Amino acid sequence: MRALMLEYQDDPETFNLNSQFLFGKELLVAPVMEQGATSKKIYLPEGEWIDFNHPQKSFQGKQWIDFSVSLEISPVFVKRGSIIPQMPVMQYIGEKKNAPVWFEVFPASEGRSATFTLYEDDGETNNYKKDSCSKTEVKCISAKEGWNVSIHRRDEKGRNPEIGRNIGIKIHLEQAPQSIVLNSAN
Amino acid sequence: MSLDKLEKGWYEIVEKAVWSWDKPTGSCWIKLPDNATPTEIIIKNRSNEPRNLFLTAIVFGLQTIAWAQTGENMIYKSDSYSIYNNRVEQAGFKATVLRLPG
Repeated sequence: MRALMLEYQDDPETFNLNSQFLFGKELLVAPVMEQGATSKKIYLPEGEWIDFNHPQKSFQGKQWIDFSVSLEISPVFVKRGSIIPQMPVMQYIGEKKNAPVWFEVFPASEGRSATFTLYEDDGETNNYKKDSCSKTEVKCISAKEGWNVSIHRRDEKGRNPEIGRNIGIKIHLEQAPQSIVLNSAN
Repeated sequence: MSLDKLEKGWYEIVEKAVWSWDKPTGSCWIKLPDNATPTEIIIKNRSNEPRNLFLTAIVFGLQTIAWAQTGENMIYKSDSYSIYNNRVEQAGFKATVLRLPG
């Protein structure tokens, strides 16, 4: 969680934003601070920002927008060219065995790529202090004819890879794909 | 595979990749098989139309209010309408009117 000015230091509009923040580099959160408000003025820095709650809507950055708000939904935007990892809600570590990790992909524009490295430790011990962890690198390259998603899991410094890691991809596209090929096999 | 079935099978290990298209959210769900890393997934466009088609215009009602070339972002703002960022990918696209005059 960080102020926008830390990420967009060349944009003076971000210097005095007191009611919105970044969650990581990818997500912009703009909580409604005013009782009964039906809209909120939100500043979007450079790039293209997608309404995380309604991914079909997107906005060009470097502008203020009047965004309709309701009690049920907090305004959250994701920058185009981002990958967001998600897991099911759990009350404690290991509650749900074989819980999946979903990488939600908001592909970059053609010719560009989105990347994310997921860091995981065992969640229970202090072994992370010895760099016992695993990192999963996800990359999505946008090309004219489609998208190329690669997932590469690196196991480092003594941490045993989990067996049966459940991984999925949720990728936002304008229309259903023609085909999906995994490791050169349908 | 339907999205319902895919979601119910979230905790199951699959032997080969399965995928589902969710039209309402415009998202494609792909579940990967056990220990599928490193993995490369190639997703191909449905459309074979060239994406460099030139110049399209939005006609809203009977009035042309904005235009853009392929690959450009369309931004139009006035007291009456606001259209943000309709990226023109190919001939024919939809304009989203986000705010109508109150």
